[in-house]
This record gives sequence, structure tokens and C-alpha cells, in this order.
Amino acid sequence: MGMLMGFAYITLKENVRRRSFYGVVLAYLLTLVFSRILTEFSLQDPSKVLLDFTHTFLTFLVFLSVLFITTDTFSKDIEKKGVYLILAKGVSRESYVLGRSFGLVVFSLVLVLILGTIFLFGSWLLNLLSLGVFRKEIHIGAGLLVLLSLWVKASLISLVVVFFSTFMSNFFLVFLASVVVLMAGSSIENLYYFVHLEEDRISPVIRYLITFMFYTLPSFSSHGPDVVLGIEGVDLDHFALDLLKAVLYGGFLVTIGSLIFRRREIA
Amino acid sequence: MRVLLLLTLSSVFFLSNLWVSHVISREVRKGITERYILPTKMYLLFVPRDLTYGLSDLGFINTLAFIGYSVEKGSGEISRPTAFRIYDALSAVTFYNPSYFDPYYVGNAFLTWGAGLYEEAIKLLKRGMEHVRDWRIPFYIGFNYFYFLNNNLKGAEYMSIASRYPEAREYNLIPLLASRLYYEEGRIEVALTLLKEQLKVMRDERMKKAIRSRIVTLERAKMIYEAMRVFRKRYGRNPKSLEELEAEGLIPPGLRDSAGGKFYITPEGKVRSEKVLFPIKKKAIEER
Amino acid sequence: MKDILLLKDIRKSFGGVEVLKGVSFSVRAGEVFGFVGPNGAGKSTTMKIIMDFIRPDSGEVYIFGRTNRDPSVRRRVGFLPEHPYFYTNVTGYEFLRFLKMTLSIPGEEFRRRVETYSRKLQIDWALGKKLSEYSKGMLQRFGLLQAVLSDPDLLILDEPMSGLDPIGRRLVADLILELKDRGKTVFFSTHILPDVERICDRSCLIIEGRITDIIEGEDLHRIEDIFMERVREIGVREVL
Repeated sequence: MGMLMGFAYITLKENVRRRSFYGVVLAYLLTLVFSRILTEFSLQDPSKVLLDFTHTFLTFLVFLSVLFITTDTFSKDIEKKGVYLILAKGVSRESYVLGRSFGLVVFSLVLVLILGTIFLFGSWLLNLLSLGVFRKEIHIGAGLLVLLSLWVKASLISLVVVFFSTFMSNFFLVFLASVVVLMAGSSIENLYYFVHLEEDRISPVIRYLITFMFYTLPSFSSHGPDVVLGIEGVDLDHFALDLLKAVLYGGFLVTIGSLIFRRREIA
Repeated sequence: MRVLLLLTLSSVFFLSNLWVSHVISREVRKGITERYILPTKMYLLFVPRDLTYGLSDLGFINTLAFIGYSVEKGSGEISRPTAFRIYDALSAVTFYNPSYFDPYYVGNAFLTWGAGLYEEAIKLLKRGMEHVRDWRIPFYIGFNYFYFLNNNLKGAEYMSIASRYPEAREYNLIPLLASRLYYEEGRIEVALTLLKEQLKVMRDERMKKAIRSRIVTLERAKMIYEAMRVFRKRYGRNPKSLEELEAEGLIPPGLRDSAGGKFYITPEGKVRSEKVLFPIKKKAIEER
Repeated sequence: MKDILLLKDIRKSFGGVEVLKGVSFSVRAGEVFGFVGPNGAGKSTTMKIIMDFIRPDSGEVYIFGRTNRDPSVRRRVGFLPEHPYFYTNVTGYEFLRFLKMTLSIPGEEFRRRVETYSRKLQIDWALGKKLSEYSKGMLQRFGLLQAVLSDPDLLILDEPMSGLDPIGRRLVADLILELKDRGKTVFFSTHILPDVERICDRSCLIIEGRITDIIEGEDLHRIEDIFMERVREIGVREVL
């Protein structure tokens, strides 16, 4: 437990002091203003447009930050040999992978909490003060659930990066591989939906391939802004299943990553 | 000196960039095409799911701009292939962001009145019905069915659905229209059930009065139809006028609709009245 | 005397080139052992194999009589890599706190060790600063501080004098000798021969992946001659 807390402590201290972290917060504040401007294009649904954009920017910045920061953290540990100081203390390689993963999951939580608070409060304020007759109500409780879901996904992306970092040293390659998994994991649900919607027109080979990918890739789908506006109900069963899949998949990535890292030479 | 040189050079580069951007902007406007601007289903397939919300909204803004551009370019007319591409774009936007109301609103207005793609408009709106809780969507579907496709029964069905939304209760036109459509299709019982159901949930006394009045008219019409059925049984033919029914004692004398208009029987055997149950004319609806 | 560190016939190749050609030696309890060799002789590779960062093609390493593959043996080892990398956005004290949490060092003991060793290494004044603000010499001394924080029985130091000015070298040498007096074992690599002469009980020479000599006693005073002789014999040109 002490070791996990230690990793959480150093990962947080190291990353929240990055200048880029403050840059992300500032960038998000600017995108709130931009989102408000974009609502002017809406005819009768400005609250929806506002939430769509603020949520999209939130997700984009969280994903990007987590991808960069996790890749950079591991690249410093492996490429610059920061890991030597940790492993030399008798920390096993499995504990290192687990500890770092835990630290990054905690960092993702802090990131989502900070940006998420700006998202909910900023959207609520803009919606209340500046949108007219077609304004819809923002449900803060449901918003918290959306943030929880975003945190789970951000953590899962972190763990994908951790997995690739256990056998790749190059920053760019790890980043690229993680982005590919993120994109594939994000679109696989759409593809799966497509092939089952148009079952007769799709060749069985493609169908089986997509089904195989649907089962084996991590899923990054979750509750979106519609839940915050109360347009879509909170499907707790689906949410719990998503959460369970993320936890199981995260567990898989950490254990397989540990297994690979055990055998890795850190020259 | 070196600082001045660098400053001058950077200014020259930036100002030249502004000029080139201006030239490019003219080219872009000249070469605008559907492919350049309209989203398709493939457009967002590989984008992380949460990002599709904002990006599909942008796709909709592009579609809206394209409709405006096409209308302007075609002097108010849009070719059928272009209209189909706009339908595809709206379909893509609502595929990724099905709970956004604006694409349905625009789709309904443009695809029906502007392009004559009634079936496509209905298909799009039916997706909206699954995801957006807004009475206007079933209302639009119902309207399109009866007005453009001459399908009164389907029109009435969707109007009834629209009238059941709590937010629609301030519009008594919807149940009244639905009841008329049901009446046109000979489904007086369904029309009466719908109106009585509305009477229970409506709060505004003025609206309730209109509904009660319509119920009275429909119940009287129903009585006349029932009398006609008995008459047919007795004489093997339809009555030529209400007087024949009155003479047989099948209906009370001087029966009028709730607005005081006289009932009459058409040669096709339909019961109509002068003030309420006149035939629905598309033009009248449009003017309204 | 008991062997604290034992290397048996270690061989290692990189891309078909054999870098270590059967390295064997042992370090006894309580001694300061110098590992001397020119650049590219295989010192750092040996260090990495001892710490289990890389695996030998053949041969065994034992620390405290147990295989080095068992991470728990490293709990009693303090290690300073050749070019230590520290997280740049944390302060020296925060990094040490991370180690405290990871190693479960009791609070009072932690404070005592930090205070004692940071003063000895004259780095106490900088612990509140970010590590990115440290000079090369400060980082080297901080590296030694983190290595001794767990009060290890065996210290493995890869080029501990590298990047230090004469004062820094003196501080590090004094600390090594003090640790020796407290019964600790120190194994360090270097190519600075006067340091070996001054603080080592024994040392070994590694040239082109082979241990050529184990030097002890009076021979330590003529280590430079032995070293140059071996270099001439084998023909290594790049000797610093």
C-alpha cells in the first residue's frame, strides 16, 4: 500500500507542476468561450450544442493530456533510466508496473476532476446566463456520472500506454500505438453496430473480424453530454458493465505488461 | 540592425501569408462542393466516440451552410441528387448524434417543402422520435403523412402520439387535427377516445372547451352514422338526407354540429357538417 | 570473510559482439572494492547485470548469498547509476519522500537519515529546490544521498566521482570511508585511479570484458602502473 501511495505521490507531484498542465486548463477555458460562440449556429437546441462542444473539448483535452503525460512519464523512466533508481530499491518489476499504473490512474482522476469541474460549472453558468428560450436544464448529478465514466476511460488509455511502454522505448512509437488502439477501441462499437445493422450485405469474414475486434479491444464508449442534459437516461446497467469491462481490461493490460516487463532488458 | 532585419522579414512573411490566404479563400468559395463540406457516415467512424458529439454538430453547421449555398446557387431550386446528398449528410449527423433536435427540424423543413423527399424526411424523423423527447417530431411525421402522402390514418396516429406529450398540451390543434384525420378514415371511436383522453390531462379551460365541442360534434356524427347503418339495414340503401333519418325517428330533429353548422350526407355516404366536419383542404392547412 | 557480492563467469553479448567474456570476482563484507577499467571495458554492463537491469547470457550473480534475480535482495542494496535521472518537477525532499513511502521507512528514522547524510554531502540547503535546478555535481551528491537513504548493507556506485569538483570528490570519498567504518560494503566503478588508491581495500581491473587482475594490499599503490601495463598488453587505445 505504501508503495502504491508512493507512486501516486510522485506521479502527481511530477505531473501537476508541468507547464503544459496549466496550458491544458487555460486551453479548456478558452474552448468554453468558443463553444458558446458555436451555439449561435443552433436553431432551436443551443444547450445541446453547448454541451456537445464543451464535452467534446473536455474529452479531447483529457485524452490528449493523458496520452502525452503517460507516454512521457514512461519514456523518462525507461529511456532516461529513471527506473534504475526505483528498481534498485528492491521494487520488483511487477510492482513498478502496478505502482506506475496506479499513479497514472490517480493523476487521470485529478485531471478529470479539475477539467470536469470547469466543464460542469462553466457549462451550467453559460447555459443559465446566456442561452435563451430553448435552454435546457443541466443535471449536475448526471454530469458527475459522465465525469466518472471519462475518468475510467482516461485511466484505461493510460494503461494502454503503460502496456506499450513495457516493451517499446521510443516515445513516438508508444504514442502512435496507443492512439491507434484508442481510435480502434472508439470506433469498434460503431463498426460492430454497422455490421449487425446491415448483416446481409456484409461478408461473414468481415463480420467475424469486427466481432473478434469488438470482443478483444478495449471499449472507450460511455455516457455522453446527452445524459447531462437529461435527454438520455442514465443506463446504470450499461454503465456498470462498461466499468466492469474497463476494470477487467485494465487488469489484463497491467498483468500482461508486468509479464513482459519482467523479461525486459533495460540497457 | 539584425533585430530590425528579422522583424522586417517576419512581417513580410506574415503579410504575404495574409495575401495568399485571401487568394485561397476565393478559390475555396469557387470550388465548394458537396464532398468538400457535407459529412458522411464514414466521416466520424474512426473518431473517438465522445468526440463525435461536437464533430457531428460541426457537420450539421456545414450542412446548414451548404443548404443555404445550394439554394442561393440554384436560385431557390435544389437538384434531386443534391437533395439526396443533403439527406445523407443529415442522416450521418443524426446517426452519430441522434438526440440533437436541429437536424430533424431542418431536415423536415428542407426535405419536404424544399426537395420533395417525403419518405426520407419521415425516415429521418422516425430516428429522432427514438432519441428526442419533443412532440414536434411525431407532429411533423403525422403532418407529412397526411399532407404530402395523403395517408390520413398514419397522420392521425403520429398526431395522437404528439398530442400525448405533456409539452404539447398547450396546443389543442394537434388532438383536434388528429381527431379529424381519424374521422376522415372512419375511425370515430379512436378519435373520440383520443379527445376524451386529452380532456383529462388538459388544464387550460379554453382549450378544454374546444375539445368538448369537438367531442359533441363527433358524437353527433357517430349517431348519424349509426342511424345510417340501421337505415341501410331497413331499406338496402343509403339515406339521401338527414331528413330521411329524422322521419324514421333514427336521429332527433335539427341535429347540428357544435358550431351550429348543419350536418349533411355526401353522395359517397360520408357525414359532414357546414362548420366543423368540412373536407380537409391542404390549402387551408397551409394558410393556417 | 563472507562474500557479499559474487559474480561467476558472466558472459554477455550485444548484437553478436561479446562485451563480457567470463567475468568472475567477489566482494567481501565490510570492504571497499574498486572496479576499474577504461571506457567501454564493460564496467557499466557489469553493474547493470548485478542490479538485474539486464540479464547475462550465462553466469550467475549472488548478493548476500542469494541470486540477484530476487528483487528483495536489493532492499539491502543502495545503488547510484552512472548518469542518474531524477524527475525534474519535484524537489529533492519530495523525491526522498517518495522513496520513504516506497521503502516504508519510519518517519523519525527517515528524517534523521535525510538530515545526517544531506549535511555530510552538503546538499541539505537544496532539498527544497526542484531537481531541475540542481547542478551536475549536486545531482551526483543527491544520487548518493538517495542511495544511502535505506541504510543499505551494500552500496553499488557506478562512477560516483563523475562530474564532481575536488570538494565534492572529497565529500563522497569521506562518506564512503565512514560507511566502511560502520561495517558497510562498498562496490564502486571508476576510472579515476588515485581514488582507488586512496579509499579501496581491494580492486579489480576489467579490460575488454575480462578481469585481468585483482589488486590488494601494497599493490594498490602501483595500480596505475599495473593498469597501463595491462592496457599496453591488450592494446586498448582509448584510456582516460
